[in-house]
Amino acid sequence: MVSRRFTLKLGAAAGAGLVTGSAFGQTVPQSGLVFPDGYQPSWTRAPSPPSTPFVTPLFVMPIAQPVPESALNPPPDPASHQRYGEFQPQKFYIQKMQEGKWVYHSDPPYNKGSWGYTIDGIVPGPTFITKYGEPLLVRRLNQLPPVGTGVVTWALPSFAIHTHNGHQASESDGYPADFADPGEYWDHHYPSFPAGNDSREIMGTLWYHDHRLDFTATNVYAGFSGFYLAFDDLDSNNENDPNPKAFRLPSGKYDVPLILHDVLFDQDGQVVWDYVGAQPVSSNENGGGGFGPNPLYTVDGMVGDKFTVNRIIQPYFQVERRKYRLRLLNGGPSRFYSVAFTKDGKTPEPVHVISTEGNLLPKPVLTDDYFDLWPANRYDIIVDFSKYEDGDKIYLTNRLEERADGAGATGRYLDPTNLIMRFDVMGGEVEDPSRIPEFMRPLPRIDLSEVKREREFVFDYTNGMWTINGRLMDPNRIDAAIEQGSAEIWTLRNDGDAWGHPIHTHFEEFQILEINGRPVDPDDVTSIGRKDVVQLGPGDEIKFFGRWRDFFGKYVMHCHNVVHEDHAMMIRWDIVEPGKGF
Amino acid sequence: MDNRRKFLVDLSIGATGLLAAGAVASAIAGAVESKHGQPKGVQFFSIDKLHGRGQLPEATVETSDGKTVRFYADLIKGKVVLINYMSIDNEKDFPIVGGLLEVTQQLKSKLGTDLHIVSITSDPVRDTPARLRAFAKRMGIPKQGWHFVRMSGKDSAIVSARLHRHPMPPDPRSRISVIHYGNEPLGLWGMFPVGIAPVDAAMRVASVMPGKPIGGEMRRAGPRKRDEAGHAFNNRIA
Repeated sequence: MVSRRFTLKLGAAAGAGLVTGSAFGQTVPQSGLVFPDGYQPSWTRAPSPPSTPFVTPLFVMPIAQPVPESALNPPPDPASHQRYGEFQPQKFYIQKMQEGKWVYHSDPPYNKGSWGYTIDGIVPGPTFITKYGEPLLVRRLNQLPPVGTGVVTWALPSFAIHTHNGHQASESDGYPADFADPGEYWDHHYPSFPAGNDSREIMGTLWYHDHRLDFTATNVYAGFSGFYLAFDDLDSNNENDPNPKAFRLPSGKYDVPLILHDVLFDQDGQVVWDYVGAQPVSSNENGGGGFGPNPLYTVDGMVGDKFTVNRIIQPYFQVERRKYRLRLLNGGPSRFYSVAFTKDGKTPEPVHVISTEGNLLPKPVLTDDYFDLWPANRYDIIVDFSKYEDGDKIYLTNRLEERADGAGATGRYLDPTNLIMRFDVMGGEVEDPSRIPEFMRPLPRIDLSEVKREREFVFDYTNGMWTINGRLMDPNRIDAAIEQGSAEIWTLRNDGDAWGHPIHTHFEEFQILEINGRPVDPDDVTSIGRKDVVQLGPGDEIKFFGRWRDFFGKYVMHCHNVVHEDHAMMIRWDIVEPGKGF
Repeated sequence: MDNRRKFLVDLSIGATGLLAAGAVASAIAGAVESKHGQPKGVQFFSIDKLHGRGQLPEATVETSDGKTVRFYADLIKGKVVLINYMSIDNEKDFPIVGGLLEVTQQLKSKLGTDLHIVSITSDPVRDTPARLRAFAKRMGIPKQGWHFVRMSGKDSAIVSARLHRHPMPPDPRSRISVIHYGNEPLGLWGMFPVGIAPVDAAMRVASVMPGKPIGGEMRRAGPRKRDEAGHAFNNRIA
């Protein structure tokens, strides 16, 4: 499978002479770059301390455990939630949002622990295992030290946790201004039904993360992220399910969520927040313009030099010789990856992509190529380790090159690549009751007669400010009022020429109609299926069809390079009563 | 050359820069490059000249009182502070200062002790100290804790670069802008767009103020009852 958009753009850009060659003999355009060409970061002056790869085991997050309803005192207030009576919680949870230490690696200085934000004492937080038809309520307690009293000074001890891309009411969505400060709590109600009660809208791999106004990037980076998995009778979390219709995907300990965060540390092993950025340089100073180093906070992005998976630096994971469901998520804050599973650190092994953005595809896609993983992108992958021998090593591999000076991608492919984590194949043959189904979830039908409005959103950069339609986020301003029950077509256009934006809109999944005027390539795993993030490269224009149903209220669309989001590349859109849209 | 005279000379460079920003950037870049011997590219400020956890540059500024003070050491260090750009001529069409005044009225914090504001004119030629002084009086700006300042070309470029702008004085005709807010001793900084609801801005500023120890029962922040009055921009209990 080679005909993906990224590869197409590679060919086009190389042909146009837009890029330079690389040691790997390949060239790619500037799409997806965190920093524009010519930029030099500050952290090359002080890289993270060295760490031995693949000596620390992968952290597999424990499953969140429900508590009795009586543990919530005072009890949840039904009058605070839309449709609470229809979707009475059957399970209740309490999450404690705290400051604490986390050990990212067994080598010193990391083994002393690194201060950050924890959820129930761990990073990432516990994994929710939920089932459609079983609504739940999560009470999140802000037990963070107030400003100036904690160890972590660069993040804000306040949160607005968003379940990405849960189909939940506005008041439970983690709207950025719906924050809880130290000493406060927020009740999030998750009704666990598919959009429009349409079973084709059932989702699978969701995640929760902070969305605090102005401080999302720092707070996610500090530790506020975790997985939220949703199952139903078909994707039933049981590979031995006797239901003949069940997909019987690898389940239990063979279903492993993997969240990627890149992190920067100081010489004491403490997490550094240093979203350095470029400064434009006059063309007559460095022979052609470009960007000079800036050791300061900027609005551009934050790139770390240590790859972590589930907050462990370059972990290893022992696997049996059978199929695994690996749920890949780029948790950001800003780095772009192009990843594959490789044995030699270079050549992609064939794997099945079964979902994009957490939503099972109509049928699995077998790929033997790299695929782009931008911030907030998710892929569920079936890797069959039975074809390997005891002792074989398989690597989760990134080939998108960072600049020689450290930050951002150069646009070139690496040789050698980055080995992010290692799977150690262990033991002899084992029984494997799991399956790769031939068919999974059909896509919801696109019915253009339902379209009530078409909208256009232009993403750009103006003198240090990230804009959408020339404006910055105002949570008090409704930028789009969408009539409940209607469908719309949105066109997203990137008017920038050097920056990629992973654009995410909340609440409902959509289907891409066109990319740069062309229909979606059915083999392009970055674009097919039900989506909630689009990869909006420089100059790209993407048109999608979506529906808005079931609840009212305010939500957001934003760049999921969360540093851009914090610097106001976000809009508020509302679902309103029919006839009141604009 | 005394400080005052040097400021005026620099200011003339800055004025040129408003018309030809690239030339200003070159001049500044060249000077810095020469001083630090950078082989390639330009560094607008060196690491050892950055201050505090917020890594802010030092710069010389002229206040509306006509005094020359230090941007970081005198106006920002050790404070919870708001920093914004403005210009008097632009205020009518794009009321940045008027909006900020409303924000201060929403805050319980006291200007001059709990909170400080530094308003930098992006039109340093027209916005003289005397004009800034008259403007502040006309606007009813509190006398304590709010400084209107202008900078020379070089210093202006250094500060604007730090505040995520291109290395030139911001365009005084701009119709979008941001206001930086931060707790300088902690290095905790955010920024919000000009034009958001004053009560929203006030909540953001309050969020970086030094916190108090928490005791007693936890408070429900939200969501508020669906029929309960509250802010249009959130679902919090008011």
